[in-house]
Amino acid sequence: MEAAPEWRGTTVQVCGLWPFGAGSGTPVVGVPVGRTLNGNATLCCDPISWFQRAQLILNPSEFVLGRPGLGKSTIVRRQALGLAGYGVQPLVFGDLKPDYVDLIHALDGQVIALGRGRGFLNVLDPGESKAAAGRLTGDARRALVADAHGRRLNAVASLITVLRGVPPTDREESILHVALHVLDQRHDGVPVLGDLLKVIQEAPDVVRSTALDRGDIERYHAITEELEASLIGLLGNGRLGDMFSRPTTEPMRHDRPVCFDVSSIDDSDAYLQAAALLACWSYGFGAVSVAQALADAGLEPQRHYFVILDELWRVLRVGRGLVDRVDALTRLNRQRGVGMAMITHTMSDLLALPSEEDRMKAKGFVERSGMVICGGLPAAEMPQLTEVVGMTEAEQRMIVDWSTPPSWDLAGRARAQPPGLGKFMVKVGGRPGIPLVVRLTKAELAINDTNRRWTT
Amino acid sequence: MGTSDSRTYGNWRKPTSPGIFGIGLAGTLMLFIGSLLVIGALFLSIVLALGMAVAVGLVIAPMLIRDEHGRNGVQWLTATGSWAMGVMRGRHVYRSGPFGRIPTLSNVLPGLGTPLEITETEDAHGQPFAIVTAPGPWHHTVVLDCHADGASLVDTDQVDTWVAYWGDWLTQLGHEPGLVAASVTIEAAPDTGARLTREVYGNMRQEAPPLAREVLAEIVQSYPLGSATLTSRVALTYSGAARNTGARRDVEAVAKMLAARLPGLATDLQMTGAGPAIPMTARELGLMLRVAYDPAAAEFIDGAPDEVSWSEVGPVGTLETADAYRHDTAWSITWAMSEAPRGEVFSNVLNRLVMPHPDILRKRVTLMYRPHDVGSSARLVERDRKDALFKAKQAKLAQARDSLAVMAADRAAQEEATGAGLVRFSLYVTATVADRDDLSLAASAVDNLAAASRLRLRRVRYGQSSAFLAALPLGLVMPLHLKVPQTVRDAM
Repeated sequence: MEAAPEWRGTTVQVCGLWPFGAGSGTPVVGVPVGRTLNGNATLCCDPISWFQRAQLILNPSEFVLGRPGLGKSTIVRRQALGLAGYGVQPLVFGDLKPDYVDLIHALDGQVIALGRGRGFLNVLDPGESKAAAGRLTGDARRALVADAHGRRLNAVASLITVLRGVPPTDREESILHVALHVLDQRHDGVPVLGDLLKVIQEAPDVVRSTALDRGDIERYHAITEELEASLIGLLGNGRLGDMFSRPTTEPMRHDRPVCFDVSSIDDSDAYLQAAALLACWSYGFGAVSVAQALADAGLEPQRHYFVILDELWRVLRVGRGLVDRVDALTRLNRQRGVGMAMITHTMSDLLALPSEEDRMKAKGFVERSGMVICGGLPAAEMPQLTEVVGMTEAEQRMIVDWSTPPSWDLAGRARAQPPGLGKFMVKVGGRPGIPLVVRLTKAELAINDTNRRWTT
Repeated sequence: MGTSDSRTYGNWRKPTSPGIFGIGLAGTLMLFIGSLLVIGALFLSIVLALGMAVAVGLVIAPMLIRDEHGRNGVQWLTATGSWAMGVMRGRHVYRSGPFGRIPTLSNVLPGLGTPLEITETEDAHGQPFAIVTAPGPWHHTVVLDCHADGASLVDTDQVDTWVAYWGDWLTQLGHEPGLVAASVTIEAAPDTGARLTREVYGNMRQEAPPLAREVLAEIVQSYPLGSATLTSRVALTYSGAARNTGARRDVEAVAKMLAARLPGLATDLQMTGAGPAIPMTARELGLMLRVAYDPAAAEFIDGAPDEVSWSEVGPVGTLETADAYRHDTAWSITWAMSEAPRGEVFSNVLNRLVMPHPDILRKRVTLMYRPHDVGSSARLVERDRKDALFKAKQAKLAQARDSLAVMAADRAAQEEATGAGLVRFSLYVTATVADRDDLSLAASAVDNLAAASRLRLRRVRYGQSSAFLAALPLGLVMPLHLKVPQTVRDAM
């Protein structure tokens, strides 16, 4: 054997024979979602596994962006399905399409239908937190009670925001806060919004002093008039109907997949849609924190949840102040074991908000996400997106190419597929994106009508 | 990438020794002494002088003949000769295990690999890693497993930065105490699906909904088909042999030194685009070797969680032919680079060579670097410059090629003076196929890939088994394992 001939050069030249041009592939951790476009390797990716086991991302959340019809819900559905197999409960807080109802049914989960005259969700319903609080002691109990209280207050304030188009004032929020406490002391069983209105109308002393009426009942009435009007509006006579003011029709369970089906609400009923989504999130996250508190106390097994917030843009579009609500809810994912997927169409959805601070906060949703998954997006989106995600030119080109429409099918045969169908790019921080194509299995094709177009 | 303003690289050269007619220093000396002898013999007898002239001519002639790969006749003669000797003694056949020629219960590595020993130790962070020791030259090698992101979706700027850091890293090797060589091995192999199976079935819950179970099972069945995996490994070889100061260092001393230095080297490696680098454990190295010799075992080995004994990693039987190598369940051919990429190249020049290829079952590309230490780099570039000048002046008419060589040597000297290191590099490619009939297909595929990477490969003849080992990330520094000393070979 003779040695291979050696060549010699300075290191500033020899480094040009750079061996790492081809990627080594991705860690195989998580739910297999598809195959990479540059190497055909299987890509496993979901926010919970990548956060918990692979430690690739700093918090278990993802933001999914993409033009409609390219399969955003499909990839999230796959993650939900796979995670269900890994023992994580998928929770769909507000399904408008419905995209997830069939899946949750097939996973033997609970589907809660909401809509005008179909089902009710009492925003003052503490869910299982009351019963759970009874099983806890000390700090854990106090924390859970305070948490439930804050959540109810947020829910009422959100509904008022939707109704009015502007958030309630500080003073009104304080009044609601105190009134809710009074309600808890006075009321047996689960109160409804009508009971809250009654408390404010009865003007107990603590509420009056919070309202700063200076001992003048006339002044109190003047201060609470707007609030009263809004609450009356929520009782069934306003544009939101009576969906949130009656006892909850079907309580949510925290030990199986759950989907709130709000698809019966008409698309033109934007305010009701937004209010329904917010109410579902609030109620659902409440149930999750109850489960976490019980698990922390060792009373129940630790459960992990994968929360899907689809069609985020509808909520953001409705009115000022809702961004804050979403912000407050999304920060909950820091709790152990709750992974989140936020889905919207474009960055413009987030940046079309009227006020600057809301725009910044909405941008924060994307920035804070552990990973961003992009489907096809129009070229006009790129400047806004790169501001937050940092994409290279090659990546941008790829994403824009995916958003081109399918070619004309002159022969009139099978419908031509859009080039970006099922294609996504997974971006984690500044690392190069991983382009992938989602491939559905036979069993998945069977459970969803919107997937008929897909071929394996 | 590849736009006109991209950074280009080049200006590497094959080290030559000065001498006339391109026969090197040794040849020139021999010619000189031979001529003196012939002249001396002239005084005694003209017949003797003629005979002597013929003898000198016969010795010098093979040195003058060079094939397309730049090998001269002497090299060819020694290689062919020693191969013939080896075959006569039956060295080209290897049998191990209970049915071997010398029955044992172990399957050790064949050839140069037999004496290798492995030690497992811990780095500064308490992570276990393995050191492979070659007792002959007393080399200790640690292998890092890298996860490169790849350059396919990265901006040119970023790639240039990575490449620049890669250059820095190579420079740093020249300052690394005791380091004799570093190698990068990129291996493309079919995905066995075992990792996916392990991931899915390892996490699936008993109480999972039937639909989820069904879908995941279908994915495990259908997804891995036809996909490939790529692994990058960096091997660092340190010499434990006695140096000017201190005595010969044993494995413990080297392990201690490595434990302190390794985390830093691995972190720096991350900046070069190699991704996170994790030292390989004895088990991982063992499995890697086992699969290299027996690719059919990959499928069941990939999922095997248990320990692997170092004495079990080798093949059961191998057969070496002049230009191919049969080992357990597969056939391999190894090539060595005979000409580095010509002219100016972009940093993506090797991409196509390392990417998976459908005609080749497993493919390894190994770049072996041997840095010159700082002192000799300065001397070498200076000498190169003088040699180039000398050569340019020798020709009566100044040849364009010579003046280019002078310019190149000048540039190298300048780069060296401004902080760059000097490094020797070689490249091996091993292609493995399952069937002997596929060998020719794989060979033509590699030829194409080499052409795309603008380098010339020479199929190693009469040394396939050693070349196979050299292309494995084991840190076998071939030039230091040979019988003929380095200085003699350099003078050829």
